[in-house]
Amino acid sequence: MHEKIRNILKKMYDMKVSDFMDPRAWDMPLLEKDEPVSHAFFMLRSNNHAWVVESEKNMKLVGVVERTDLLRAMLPPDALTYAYGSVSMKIKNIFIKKDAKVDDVMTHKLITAEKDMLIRDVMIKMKKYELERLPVVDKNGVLIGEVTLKSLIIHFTRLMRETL
Amino acid sequence: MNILNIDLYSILIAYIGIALILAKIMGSLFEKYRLPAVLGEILTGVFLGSSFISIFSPSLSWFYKDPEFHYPLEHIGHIGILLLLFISGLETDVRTLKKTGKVATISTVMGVITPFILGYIAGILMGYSNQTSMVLGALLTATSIGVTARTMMDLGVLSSDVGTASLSASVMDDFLGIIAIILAIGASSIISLAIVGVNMLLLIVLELMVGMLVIKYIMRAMEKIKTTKAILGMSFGLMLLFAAFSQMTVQAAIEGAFFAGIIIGTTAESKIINDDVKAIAYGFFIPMFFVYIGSLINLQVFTNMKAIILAVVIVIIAIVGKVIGRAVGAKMGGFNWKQSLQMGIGSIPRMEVALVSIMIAIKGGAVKGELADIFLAATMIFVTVTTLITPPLLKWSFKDEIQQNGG
Repeated sequence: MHEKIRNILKKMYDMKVSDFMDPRAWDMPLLEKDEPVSHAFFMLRSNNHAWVVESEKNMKLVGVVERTDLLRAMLPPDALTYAYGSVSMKIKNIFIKKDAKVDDVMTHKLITAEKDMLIRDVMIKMKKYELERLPVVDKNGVLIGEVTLKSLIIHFTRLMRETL
Repeated sequence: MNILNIDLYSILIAYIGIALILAKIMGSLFEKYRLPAVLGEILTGVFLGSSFISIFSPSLSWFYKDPEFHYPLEHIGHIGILLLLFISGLETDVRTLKKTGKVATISTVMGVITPFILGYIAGILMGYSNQTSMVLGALLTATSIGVTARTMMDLGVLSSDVGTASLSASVMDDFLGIIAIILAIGASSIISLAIVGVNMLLLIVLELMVGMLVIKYIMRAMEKIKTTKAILGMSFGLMLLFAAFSQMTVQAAIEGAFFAGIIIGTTAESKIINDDVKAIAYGFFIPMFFVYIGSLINLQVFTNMKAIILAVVIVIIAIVGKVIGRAVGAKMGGFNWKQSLQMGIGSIPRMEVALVSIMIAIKGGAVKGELADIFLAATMIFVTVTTLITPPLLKWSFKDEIQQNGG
């Protein structure tokens, strides 16, 4: 049985992101970058994250908001320390930044995946950056889907059930 | 009878060990009393410096004179400077910088130029050379926002227009301060100031263009390498190469380190190095830099009239120049006079950039010998005084707002 599981995994390694990607991009939690930050709070009541796009028309991916980003925005400002050169990050706090927009609190450093990337590389990337989900973008940076650790696990268990 | 084998190497590593532990303890003590940890780290250095030690035991300080003891500490300190700037670059959100408001922009520029010019003139009047006077001006330029931010927060005014403008001003301010010291070190006259300025601008444009073009591919390639902490190690390497190149061209290693940070910071992959860089920097190199600078202070200088006069003059210029520059700039930008004054007062504290500046001015030979001792002591006095007087002054300037808040 152990051998079989290993073979299932090996098969998964060589599959592509497109095999796992939920094609319904419109179903993903989405925010536009100029929306007020309150929208992010409401959206993350039930979602673990929200992808931030320039506009829902062009779907150009510019960031992600996770709950920890909101924690940074909500933090009591006396918990912030000001070391030399670290001020830009502090401005993300909503006590400090008036009329904050989604753009002001999101993480804009995005680790992404492409449609034809191998799952083995996706896994390595997730491990390296300690991420549970990667947005899938096309060559122009347009968001076309996401690949999540959850979907990998679901797929893995499904294959196990089928073969064992 | 020698039970222990005390050689220079064991003294050196013991010294570093004591320095790190004491620096962190002193730093946290200072923070407890709402003073910058940096001051505590510098004071640690003073206690561990040859000047202080030799008061008690002149025989103990033999090893300070040995270059094998001194050089490693000097180099560690200077790598600390590079890391300080590298982190600053990594954390500088270029998008925030672009969004700096009108008030913040004008008042920052005015608040940098005014003390620079006043410091330069004062230097000339006191009989210092052209270059030394420019270093003097550059020392006075950059605000350290820490104390101000903390005080404004305690007063409940950090989210006011003044508070927000002060914070966003400080991002640009740090940057201009670095530029000022590089210009001062490279230039011995007004004409060469222009030449150095143009050279530096060219270098920055070159670094940014090349850097932004290739960094994505470099990071992507680095990603493929599977050794432990490969991206971290190689980002460090890149930073040092940038610094070395900038040092060779315009004597400005710090500029290279800063822009390496900005460039690497634009890539998504830099996400995982941020914490690691900070761990190495704040856990080792940066406290060692502050200890080192403290240990260089020659306590006898404080009995030297020249140093005292210089210290008094630069404290006055540091305060007056910055307050007037910032305030006038803020007024031009649209604040009323009261807000402008508050913003001006908030820009009084100086710390990191001034310390970095004096160190690289000494290393670059722009101030040497006895002058270096005098300048270092004066810098210490002026960073301490400006840091200590800011909280009460801010409190005074915000007294109406505090009453309104029901405080």
